[in-house]
Amino acid sequence: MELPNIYKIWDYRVLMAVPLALILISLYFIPQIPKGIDFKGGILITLQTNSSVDEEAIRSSLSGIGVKDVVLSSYTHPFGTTVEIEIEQNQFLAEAEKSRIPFSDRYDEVIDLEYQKTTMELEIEQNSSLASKYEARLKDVNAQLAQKREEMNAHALTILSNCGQVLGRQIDIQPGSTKELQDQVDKVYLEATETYNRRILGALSGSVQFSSYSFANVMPSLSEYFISKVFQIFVISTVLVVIVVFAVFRTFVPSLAVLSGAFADVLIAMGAMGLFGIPLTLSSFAALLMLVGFSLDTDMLLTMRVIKRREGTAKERAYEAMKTGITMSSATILSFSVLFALALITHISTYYQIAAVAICGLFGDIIATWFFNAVIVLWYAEKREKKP
Amino acid sequence: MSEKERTQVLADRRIQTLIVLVVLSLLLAYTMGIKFGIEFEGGTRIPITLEKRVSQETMSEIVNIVKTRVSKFGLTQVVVRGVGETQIYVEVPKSDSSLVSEIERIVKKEGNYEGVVDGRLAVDGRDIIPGSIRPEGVQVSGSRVTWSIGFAINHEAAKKFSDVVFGKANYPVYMFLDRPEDSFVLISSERLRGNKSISDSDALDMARAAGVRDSDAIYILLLDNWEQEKAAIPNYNFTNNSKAIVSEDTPESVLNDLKAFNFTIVKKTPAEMTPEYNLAGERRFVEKWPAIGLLSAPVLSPGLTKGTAGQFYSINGPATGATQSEQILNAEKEMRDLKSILSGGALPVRVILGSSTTIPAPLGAEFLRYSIIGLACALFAVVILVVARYRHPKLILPIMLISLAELTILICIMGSVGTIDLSAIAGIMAAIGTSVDAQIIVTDELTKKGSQEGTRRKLEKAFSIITTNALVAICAVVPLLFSGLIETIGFATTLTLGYALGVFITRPAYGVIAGRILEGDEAK
Repeated sequence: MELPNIYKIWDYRVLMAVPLALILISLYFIPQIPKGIDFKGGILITLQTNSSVDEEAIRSSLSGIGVKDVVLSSYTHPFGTTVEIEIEQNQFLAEAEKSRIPFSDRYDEVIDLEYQKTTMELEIEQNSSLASKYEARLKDVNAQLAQKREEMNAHALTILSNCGQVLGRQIDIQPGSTKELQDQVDKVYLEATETYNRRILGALSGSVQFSSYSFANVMPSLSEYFISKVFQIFVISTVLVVIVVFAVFRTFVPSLAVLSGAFADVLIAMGAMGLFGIPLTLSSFAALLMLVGFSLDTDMLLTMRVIKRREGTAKERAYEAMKTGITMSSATILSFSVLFALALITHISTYYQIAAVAICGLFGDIIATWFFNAVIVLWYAEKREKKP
Repeated sequence: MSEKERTQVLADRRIQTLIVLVVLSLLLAYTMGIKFGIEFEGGTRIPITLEKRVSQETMSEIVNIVKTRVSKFGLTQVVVRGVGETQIYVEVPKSDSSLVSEIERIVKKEGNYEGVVDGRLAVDGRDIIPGSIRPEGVQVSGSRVTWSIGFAINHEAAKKFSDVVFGKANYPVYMFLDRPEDSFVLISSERLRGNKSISDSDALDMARAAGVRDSDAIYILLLDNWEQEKAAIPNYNFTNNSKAIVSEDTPESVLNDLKAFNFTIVKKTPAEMTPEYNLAGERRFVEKWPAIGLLSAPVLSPGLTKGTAGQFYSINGPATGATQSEQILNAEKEMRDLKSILSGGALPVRVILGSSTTIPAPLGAEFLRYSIIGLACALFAVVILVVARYRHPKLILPIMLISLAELTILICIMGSVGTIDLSAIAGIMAAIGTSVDAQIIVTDELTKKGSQEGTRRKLEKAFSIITTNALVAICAVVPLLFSGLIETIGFATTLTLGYALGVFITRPAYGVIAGRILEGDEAK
């Protein structure tokens, strides 16, 4: 089967319409990309059971304890059935958790200030002449101590009152030393978390008989960490890639063409994620980064062949490159399709996300490279050819 | 290929490098074993969340402490790794709920610190004012490097402390973490001497001195005279709760004897059973004996207090090391260790144990089986595609062999140095894709009709494209590698390794083989 040389058929600039349309469609779908638990936070409960699974029963029993947002999936394998239940984080526990690190920071500061205060007071006790020397500093430390302690107590109260909501009782700060406060906060938080987990398990055991279970709890601090990390990685990646591309091509237009081709590809892949409901998780994010590499593969092939070679006309070189490029993309699509099939059999979400993003991205790459990037490069090359 | 061509190919340096690399990686995998993630091996993962963000350094410190503690309890196949700045995963290959609570206990435990001077309890961990334990810094004067750490004890304990240490200048403070009570040590004289040239009676005296704390003494029984010691056991005040601290290499017959007495047997490694002595000063004493929880015995210098009513104390000592920089490093480590001991062995940061994830082993094995089949299918499928496209069936073998070689090297290196987990498998699958892509570029270049260039020139062109591609692709993925995101590190590593391998080894090798085949074909 011989592909026609699309670049010779019409005014090739018309080809641009396809990728531009795809990009617009993608932009529409991108906001609909579901956030995976890594970025959304939440609790993922995995159950192994040997009996049948009644999804409705599970949902209603969870709704009975106030959990409305439930994503359920179950699949059978030779050793029984695995049920995955994803629910949102308990709002009170989430609020409490947000205050834990600030509480811990203030706690350290208070302990330090208390130590400084005790040291000075003891020294004054021994040697009363030091009283005047330490007066100013002592006043300062006392002031800071009062303020930090107030902040620390405020955080402690947030944690205690939110945990109290979960435990169904009012909890106040118990009078005692600072260390005792930390012990109280830790104990109450742990109690609240365990109580809530038990509550969930209790609701579930009413509707399904499971032989084993596991909890994966992504608290707000963890999901925030993932989001900021991923953003950081994205920025560094982009900067590195831009630098290397410009360093290789050393001319503005081809470099821009290559980069925009890769960018368009990622956009189309994300649009596909929105359209097909592929969740954005750490794995699918990694796959998007990988796409940049794949996309640049074909973009570079095209650009180097068209611009840096001399045999034949630019259009002919572009066409030859297209044939090679599509073979490459087909091979990669094939290998990821196998991964996708593997994902369907094993229900491993990592495989599914990476394969799905890769396949959509590779199809998008075909459009982005040969309909978008190629047009820009051809235009540039033909302009150069015309120059004496 | 003809016989001659084959020998020519095998003689080529690039092919030889590839073969050597494959053999080396197989050897590596054989000696170090291939590690699989718990998704394949089955097991339990316990996430530990740290209360606050810590630096990389503190993170590795914590990981090491947890590793040491967990392995001390005989849980040898445990993997402990840091995740980002606030989490640690503890992974155990068994799926056992009692194991999980065991690990919880181990990690959360705050041991009991005791400081004993001249046989009397001088200070208890609970007496130390929280926040007062401060490393006071490393001092360099001339060729001596000393470290110093200070701590404060509360008012009530201060009185007791000053009573106990009165007149005991330059005595060692035996610092115990979880000192065993109501126990004895069964040890051979040779081990008791601890590789020092001291007499048996000296060693025995020092060991006995270290074990006394008020009315509780840790008795020393010598393995060499086991029959006599055994006969004398009724003369001690041992009970059914007494513990016998023995080495792992104690003979079975002796262990049976101990069991007959109803003692609780506590096994320690030979290293832990060997005491370390400080024979330098005028006072000679046992400085360290992990078997009884004696972790350090610095010399107390009350003269160096902060000038107050005996509530502030300072412990200092010389640093060991060959060079001054080594001494400084050791000094800092010593201060950190002591700080940890004084804090009751608590981790530098408080921790919360998350709920564990369990993968049953048979399920994991199934995942692995399917994944491997998947890899094989992918490889097979893409090779067929390439051959169909370029219609040179003779290329099947080289492409397969080269890709297989690359896969082998990748799996062996990843498995022995890293872990093969889900994201690593996905990365390997991607590497198959990129590997074949590059082979396509080479084949394409070589089969181009109407070109008068020689094979070498064609290959050069192909490689320049491949190299640039690899460079850019690696740049895109490398930030993932250094991000500390465990979930995706396997993926990023295999991708990067795959690209690098391709550029330096496998592509050139393929170029050589394919070049010869196609040249040969053209010539016919």
